[in-house]
Amino acid sequence: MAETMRIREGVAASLGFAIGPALVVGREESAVLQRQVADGEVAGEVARFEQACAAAEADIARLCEDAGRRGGKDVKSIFEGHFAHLRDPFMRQEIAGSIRRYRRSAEYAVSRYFRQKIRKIEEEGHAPFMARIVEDIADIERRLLRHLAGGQSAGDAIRLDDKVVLVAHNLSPAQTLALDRDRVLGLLTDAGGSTSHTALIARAFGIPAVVGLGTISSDVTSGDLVVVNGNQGLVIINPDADTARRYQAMARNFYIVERRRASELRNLPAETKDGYRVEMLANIELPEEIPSALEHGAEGVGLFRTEFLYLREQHEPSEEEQARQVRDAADRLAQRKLVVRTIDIGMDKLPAEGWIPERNPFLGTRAIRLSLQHPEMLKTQIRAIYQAASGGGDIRLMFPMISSLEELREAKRLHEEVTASLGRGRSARRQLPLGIMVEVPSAALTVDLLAPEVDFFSIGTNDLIQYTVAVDRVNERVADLYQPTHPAVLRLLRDILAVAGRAGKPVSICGEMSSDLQFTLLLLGLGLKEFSVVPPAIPDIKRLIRSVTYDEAKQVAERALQMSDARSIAAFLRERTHQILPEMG
Amino acid sequence: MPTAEREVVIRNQLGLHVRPSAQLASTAMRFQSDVWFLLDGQRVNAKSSLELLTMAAVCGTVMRVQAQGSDAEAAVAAIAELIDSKFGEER
Repeated sequence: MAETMRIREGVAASLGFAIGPALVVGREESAVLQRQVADGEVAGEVARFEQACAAAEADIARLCEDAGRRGGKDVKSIFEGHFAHLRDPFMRQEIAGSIRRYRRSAEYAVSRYFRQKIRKIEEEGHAPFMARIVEDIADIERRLLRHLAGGQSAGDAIRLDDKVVLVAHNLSPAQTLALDRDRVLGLLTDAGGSTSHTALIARAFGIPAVVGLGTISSDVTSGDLVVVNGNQGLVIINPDADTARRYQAMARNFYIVERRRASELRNLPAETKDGYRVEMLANIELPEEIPSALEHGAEGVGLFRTEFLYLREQHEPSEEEQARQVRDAADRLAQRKLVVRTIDIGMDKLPAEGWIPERNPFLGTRAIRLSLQHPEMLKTQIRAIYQAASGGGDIRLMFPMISSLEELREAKRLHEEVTASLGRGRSARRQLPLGIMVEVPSAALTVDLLAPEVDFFSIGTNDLIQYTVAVDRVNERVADLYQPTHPAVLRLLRDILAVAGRAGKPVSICGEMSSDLQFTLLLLGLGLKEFSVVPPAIPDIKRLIRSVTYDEAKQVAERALQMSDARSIAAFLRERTHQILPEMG
Repeated sequence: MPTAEREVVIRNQLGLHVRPSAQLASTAMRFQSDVWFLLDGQRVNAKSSLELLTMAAVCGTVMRVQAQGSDAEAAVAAIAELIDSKFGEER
């Protein structure tokens, strides 16, 4: 009666692997009814409100101390903020006033005040950025309401009798902090992004986590066996016996060194023992992720995705809005590299009138194809990037999913139209470096033809593998055929790097393969000089690179290229990585 | 009644999130004067950290700080200094 295995994809929020039974915790709703009290009860309501404030203050003071001890400075500062807000005298006055003036119940007056604040913030509309602030305000409100209901301060703790993978719609910072670290194997939430409080605390605690899963809290039932792959943002529900065994081993071996090592490694170069230097870049989606990326030791951004703006607005964002985002990212990076990729989504994600769904979107109107069919959209985006670049910084432009020279030339023609129109009336505007993603086998096999037309390449391994082995990795029926170590993939990588190298054009890899420590030696040995990865992966990759010589890595790559099947190659790479860093994979 | 006013720009990367708004309110609280921020036609009480949070001021937001009272000048200077220091979050 084995259940079928299902795979879900979310946002990788905290590194590591876990496997265990799920515990789904309910959403904490704070539906408060509008209620009035009798004249004689008003003073009592005000007193109840004041008592709740005092009790909540005591709670948070304790949480601050706890956070400082268990989560570190960043986690503590969240609660210090809550403490200050809870003591805001104007909030207290306003709520007490509203109880007195309108004979509101304390609950209703509290809820009304905080709901108003949240609504006002939401009207400001900086959605991802404000999500955290809303989370904070809602947390303060919930705490007051809990105390008004006579709740004990233990309300943050989720009772756990066994080791579980915790599944929730969302967790408040206090709930996340109160987690019993020894019993929470992993964390999965419907809501949140990689910069949410939940993600931050999970990383600080070294609990593997995947967030932004949408519906995981209803997809999973308590007791289901689930796998958390916090490195790739994948969740496997009811894994088959083989998968379960594999992840059990990975979970055992995965050693959380991130926090300890990150700070030591931050300012050391990613350089082999014999001085072969590589560049560590970050993949990001939002400018807000940059501070944390730099903290992890990123030397720049190798992939700035721009889809988010389109998806959030569900229509094309204005040129100014796009320019503002790019400028924001460039400012945060100072003079460091920023590679901006033009829109890389399929038509299916961008609803337009008259759009007929394609039978096979992966082989359909995606990425640069979508842009070339809507040249004004692409030109607006390029103009926005140039507008942002006029403020300085090392900004580069990258087209996704180029599959032929014609396509590249068409994209470049549109690019030239934009730069020509900008050139008029302004003094010698510089041309931004222009690169392409190599993620379609037809491009991988014609790097020599494409090289003269571009300044750099970046390999998108996710799609390259998918198109090479003809596997949709989210389709659980064929997912195990998705093999990054397939000899065909290795040969493609070797050739791309060699051919581009001969043409004098730099290559980075921004796909998941470069974020995965198992492949670091291979990629280093194949001659990769720019790793563009998820920020939390940087310290470990750096450490591995710093632990070998370039020759050792080259030997690993040569040996892997001589082997004939994906499984043996994967096992070999794992073993060599393990020999060098025994506590890892 | 003495008044003082100055333009300030939020420069810390995370904007006026939980901690900076609390710092601003406690700084404003040290002065006798009434202190406000003016943004998009709104007037926000600088001594209320929750009100400040509600401004949703992201990095790059330009606003005015205004004070009225015996120590208005000093209040505006202290607020501006705190904002310029990026709340000690970055160098």
